[in-house]
Parts: sequence; C-alpha cells; structure tokens
Amino acid sequence: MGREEALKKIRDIVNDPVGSVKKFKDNEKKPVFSYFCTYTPEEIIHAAGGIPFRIMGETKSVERADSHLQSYSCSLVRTGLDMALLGRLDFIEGTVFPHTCDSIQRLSDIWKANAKYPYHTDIVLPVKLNTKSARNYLIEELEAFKESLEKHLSVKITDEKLQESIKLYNKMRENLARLYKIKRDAQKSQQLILASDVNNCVKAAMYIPVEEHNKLMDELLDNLDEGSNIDDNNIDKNKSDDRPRVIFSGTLCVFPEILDYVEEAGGVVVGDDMCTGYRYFATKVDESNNNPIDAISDRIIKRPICAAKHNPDFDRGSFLKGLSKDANADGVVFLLLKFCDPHSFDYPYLVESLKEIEIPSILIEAEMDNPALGQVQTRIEAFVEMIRENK
Amino acid sequence: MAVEKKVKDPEREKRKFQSAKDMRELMTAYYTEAKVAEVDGSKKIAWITSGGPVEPLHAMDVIPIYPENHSAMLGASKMSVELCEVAEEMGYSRDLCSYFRADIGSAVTKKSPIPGALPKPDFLVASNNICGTVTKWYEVLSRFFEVPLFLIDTPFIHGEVTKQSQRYVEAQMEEYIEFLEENCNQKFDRDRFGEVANMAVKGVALWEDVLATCENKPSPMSCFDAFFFIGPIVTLRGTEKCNEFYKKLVSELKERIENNISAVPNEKIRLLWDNIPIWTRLRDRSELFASHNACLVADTYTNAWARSKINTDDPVKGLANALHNVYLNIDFQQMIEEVKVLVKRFSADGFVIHSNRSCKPYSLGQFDMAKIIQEEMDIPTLIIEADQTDDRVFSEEQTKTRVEAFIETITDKAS
Ligand code: SF4
Ligand code: SF4
Repeated sequence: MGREEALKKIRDIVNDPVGSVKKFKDNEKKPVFSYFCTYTPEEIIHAAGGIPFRIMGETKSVERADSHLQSYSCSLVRTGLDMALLGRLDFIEGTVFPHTCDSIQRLSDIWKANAKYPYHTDIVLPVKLNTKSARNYLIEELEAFKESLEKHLSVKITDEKLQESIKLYNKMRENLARLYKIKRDAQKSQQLILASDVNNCVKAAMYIPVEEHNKLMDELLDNLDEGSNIDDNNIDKNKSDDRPRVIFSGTLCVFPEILDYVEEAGGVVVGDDMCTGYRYFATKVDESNNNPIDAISDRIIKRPICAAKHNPDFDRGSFLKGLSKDANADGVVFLLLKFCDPHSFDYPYLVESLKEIEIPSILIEAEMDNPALGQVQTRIEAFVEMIRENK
Repeated sequence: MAVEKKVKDPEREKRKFQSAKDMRELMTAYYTEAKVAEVDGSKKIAWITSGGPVEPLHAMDVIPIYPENHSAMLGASKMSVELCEVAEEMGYSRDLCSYFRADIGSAVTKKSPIPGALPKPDFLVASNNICGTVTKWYEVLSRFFEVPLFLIDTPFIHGEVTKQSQRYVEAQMEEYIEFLEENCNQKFDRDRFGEVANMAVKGVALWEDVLATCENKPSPMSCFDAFFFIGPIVTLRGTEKCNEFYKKLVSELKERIENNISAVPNEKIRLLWDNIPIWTRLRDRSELFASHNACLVADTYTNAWARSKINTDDPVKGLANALHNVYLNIDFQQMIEEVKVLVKRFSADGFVIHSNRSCKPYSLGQFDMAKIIQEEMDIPTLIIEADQTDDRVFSEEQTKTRVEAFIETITDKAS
C-alpha cells in the first residue's frame, strides 16, 4: 500500500465514520461504545472487548434534535443528538459520557431519555486536576466505569488485558506524534502531506479499532519517512521556507477544509491545541506502572488540559506560547464551536498570552449545521496574507 | 390585539411589604460593611458563588460577596447590557452567561449601583455545583484581581450520589478549611462553625416557611416578591440578622393571609415558574401576569434554596453533602420529580418556563421537562425565550402574545 492509498483509506473513514465502524463491528462481532469527549478512557473500553467510537456530530442541518435542545447549545451537542434520534447510531451498544461541560452534562440526561441504547453511563470526571483528592476520586471513578462495563458485557477486564490495550493506544499516540513532527519540520519543497490529511489521521483514530489505525499509520509513516529525510542533512537548508506558519487552537475541527484554506493561501499548518488534534494523543500512558487504572488516571491528569478542566498548575496561555515557539509559528487561528462556554472563556486570555510573544491571531466560530465556509476562507486568506507581511 | 393596561390598584399601598424596607436596610448595611472593610482592611473579603459554602466564611469573620447577586442587581437597575458590552469588547463571547459578562464589565469599569462597585476580594471561592461557568468565571477573576481561588469540585449527580464522589467532596471541605486558615492567618474554630451551621439550618427552615405561605389561596406573595426577598438567604445565610429578617417576613406573610391581602388582587390562576428570573423585566412580567389575574405562586429557583439542609451532627460533612445535592447538580429526571411536587403543593394551573440563554445547566432539558409535566400533571406549559440580564435577547411583543395565548388555554381548560 502506498502513501496515497493509505491516505485515501483514512479519508474514506473520516468521510463516513458510521459506515466504517459498522463494517468493523460486523466483521469483528464487537460492541461499539460511542463517546463525546477525548477524556474517555478508550483503553478500558478496548480491554472490555469493545470498539470506542467518538461522536462528532454531522455537518448538516438538524432535523429532530431541535425539539429537545435550545438553539444556544453548541452544534456538537445538537447534531450529535440528531444522529441518535435519526437512528444513525442504532448499531451501537451504548454511550459513555465523561463529564465535560454543562451542555454535555444535560445532553446525557436527554440522551438517556430519548435515545434508548442498551448501555448508558456517565464518568463524572473531576474538573479539578491538581489535588490528591481529585486524583483519588478519578481513580475510583475509572474503577467504577470498569466495573460497569464488566457487568454489562459479563467479562473480566484483567490488568493484563488493560496493559495490552495501553500498549496499542500508546502506539497510536506515538504514530500521530511522529506524523505531527514530520509535518512540522517538512520543507516547502517536500509537500509531504496536507494539513487536512494530518487531521484526518487523528480523527480516524477515534473512529476505527486501534489495531487497524496502527496498521494504516505504519504504512503511511514508512512512506512519509522515506520522502521526508527529516534528520537527514540532504535537505537543502538554503532553500528558504517562507511560508507563514500557523497553529490552530480550540475545540474540535469538523471541517478539515478550514486547515487547507491556510495552505491554499500559501501558509502551512504546523501544530495545534485542539481536541481533534494534539490534545488527543499528547502524553502516553506509563507502561511501567503495573497498576493500569492508576497509569490511565495519570495520563488524564498530565495531558494538556482542555478548557473545561481546572488545573492551576497548568497554564493554557503558557502552553500555547510554548507550542508556538516550538513550531516557530507566525500566527494562531482560534477555531471554536459557537456556544462553547469553556473555550470562549479562555479565548481572551490566550490572545493576551500570544500578544506577549507578538503572535497575531484570529477567531473563527463555526457551527456544524451552518458553517459559512466561504466567509471563513476569505478571512483565513486575509490572515495568512497579514502574517506573511509581518514575517 | 389588546393593549396592556397598567391596572391601577386602589389598594396598592396596602399590598406593599413592610419587610421590603427592612430588607433594603439589611442589604445596604451588608454592602456598607464590606466597602468599609475594603478600605480599612478590618475584615477579609471573599467572593463566592451562590452555591458555594458560605458558612465557614461567616465562622471565620470573612465577608462573603456574591457577584451573581450583584449581577442580578445590575440587571434590575438596567445597567447590565452596557456592562455586558464592555466584556464583549474584551473578547468575551456574547453567548457566555450574562451574569459573568456584567460582573467583569463592572469590575473593569467600576460601574454599579453600589458606589465604586463591589469591594475587591482577598480571595475567591467557587463551587461548580451550579455550573461549569463559575469555574471559568472565577479563573478569570483570579487572574484579574491576582488573588487565590479555591474551587470546590462537586461531581454532578446522575442518578445516585456515589460513595467516591461523596468522599471527594468531603475531602475538599477539609482542604477548604486549610485554604481559609492560610488566607486568614487564623485557626478554624470548629465550634463556632457548628453554631453558624445551626443558624444556617434555621435560616433555611425559615425561608421554607416564607415560601410555604404561598400554598395559601390566594397567595400572599408572588415569586416576583420571592426573587426580591431571596437576598439574605443567599448572602447572609448562617447569621442572626438573616434569621431575624425572615422571622419578621413570615409573620408579615401570615398577617396578610389573615387579612386576606393577596399578591394579585383577584387571583384566579396559579402558576409555577422555572429558572432564574428575567431581572430586567421583573416589574413588567409581574404586571403582565397580574393583569390576567394570574399569580406566579412558586418557582424552582427560590425553592432551590429551601432544599439544601446541613446535617449538623457533623457539620463539615453535612455541609459537603448539602453542597453536593443542590438542585442544579442533579439530573433532570430528578428535577422533574421535584417540579411535580411543587405543582401539587402549590396547586399550580400552569407551568411557565424561562428558557434562559445565559444558563445552560438550568435550561437544557427544559423542552423534555415541559412535555413530561404537561402530560403527567395535565397542566399547560409555556416556554419563554429570554435571558436573566441581557435584555437584548428579549422580545416584548412575542412574549406578551404567548403569555396571553397561554392564559387563554388555562382559562378554557378550567371552564
Ligand atoms: S464544544 Fe464546548 S460546549 Fe460543546 S460539548 Fe464541547 S466543551 Fe461542551
Ligand atoms: S446563571 Fe447559570 S451559568 Fe450563569 S452563573 Fe448562574 S448557574 Fe452558572
């Protein structure tokens, strides 16, 4: 399988997540557990013999969810519920709701009352991540989740199984980290991979069994490594790369085309702090810890935090500044889903933080059922032009 | 369509509450003390969320300040929109809770009905038992004032309280006490705290008595009055002053019942209200309903303050429990059960739901709730789209038309 073929497979998965996971479900005879937020401990679902599947809503207008949810809830919540109400998710065993924000919290109630799947659970994660009591609670909550899956599926989730799952997921994280590095360090002449394809690789990991993803990524990365010569001195260092370098920050990116707008305008996407991006795979689970639940909790605490969490020891402003410096970025695009409270709260502070290192930014608020992509493209073009002149 | 007539009530004077004056004095004294403390440093000042543990602050002689209450004041005095706009210029989305936007706008500009705005905090206490918004709001305040923040993280209750979440909240109460000791340079006096907790329990019971008088037909006060009188149970809970005030209010209400003074002169329709009031339109709403002989006799908002009781056998644990179980921290299946009880207790003929753009934890789920209440309790429901303090999202005409149609449905049903 060549690079193009691997990329095409990944694109197909992202274009039809439901169809793709259904195929795996039918072939492997495994129950699918859907979830909304990347704080879901996928390893536990995997070790229970299930396939974790992230619901990212759909980019189309809402048909049924509007009679359950007000128009001022985010489009992830509205289009996600719509999928359930339209029967698009009838193949799933159930849904796992880790505590994220006020909207997801109530969505869980509404979901439970209206979309009747055999399994429904809430993992009420702590919001606070910096204290010992929060850590203890997190561990107990994950244990409870494990038990609830065991009971529902009549299986035993042994430590050995969990450790195997952790290895597979760590492999997936390593792969994606390598892909990000390749993308970040590639020279203009190399044109290795489009930003949207990088994004597709991350999302595909949330849609299909991890084993399959690892296979596809191995293929892709071998191919890319060949062409990238990242650590090789052969790169023509003189050939200056004058492309404006852009980082994304925000919620989830459901429109990969938005990333490509940057590159079509002559820029390059060199990293992100998004939950369909870096936040998803950053930080591995410690394989040397022989208490796997403890190790998984540790990752949840240590990974770069989402705006919906509270950790006085982790400053999102400093983190974004660090990312920008490491990637040598010239500008940041904030991509938020409209009506997303946690991220909207952080936005002004993040802009301030970036100003300290003189990095300009723009804000794009998108709604999945009403994206106005034309306008977005125009704004991104103008932004790339602006940072090119600043360079 | 009929033009709304401002019904001139000949007995208006008679209906005025004696206690309103007392309450204004009480609240003025409270804010004055805080403003003095800000200047002379005689007492520490803490900003705290409405669902937060205020009793330990009183036990430590710290003055608690409630930005939410202040934002409601900003709404009632029609200053909120201007201040929300200040926040929006700072980059805060117009979709964020308007309490927050008005508050940060006031902190920055010092504009407020209180001269010089709220006194600056020495530290901050937030509990996310009401929403995730306050976590973020207080992070913003912590950076703005450069003061420490203590967050009490109260896991949401889907179904039942779990052992682990109970342990977690209890552990945080002890951490909270340590935080207070550090920030006040003073040992926490557990006996004193026990007394405050007892006082708070009595205060909550008195508040319950206040609200219970509205079971009477006709109701001696409406929930618009309750929205006004809620101030002390939120801000001064655990103090003697708070309890004194409510004792008087209860007797005044009982007197009204004896003398047959009702909130709405000719009460024919009794309604239940859901969600935070529309502070900017309190008066108009009250008159609109009254003009149809309808009285809003109870609401989920003020009743929420009557349900959190501390078990004083072990007040620290008791407080943890009370915090954990507040109305906005339970799933909507449980909320619906509570609404049903209110419908019965207060003999409501209809259910008015404020779909409040600012408050997602309160509002999402209301559509399902409306349907279930309508079906199972057999009463009409009305959903009003508005906002607690951002008047820009309010449509006067539309609301009026819908209220009128709703009243008609109830009237038809009765006849
Ligand atoms: S996008 Fe924001 S509001 Fe929507 S579910 Fe995620 S955190 Fe919540
Ligand atoms: S109005 Fe709602 S969102 Fe705003 S602070 Fe209060 S509980 Fe939180």
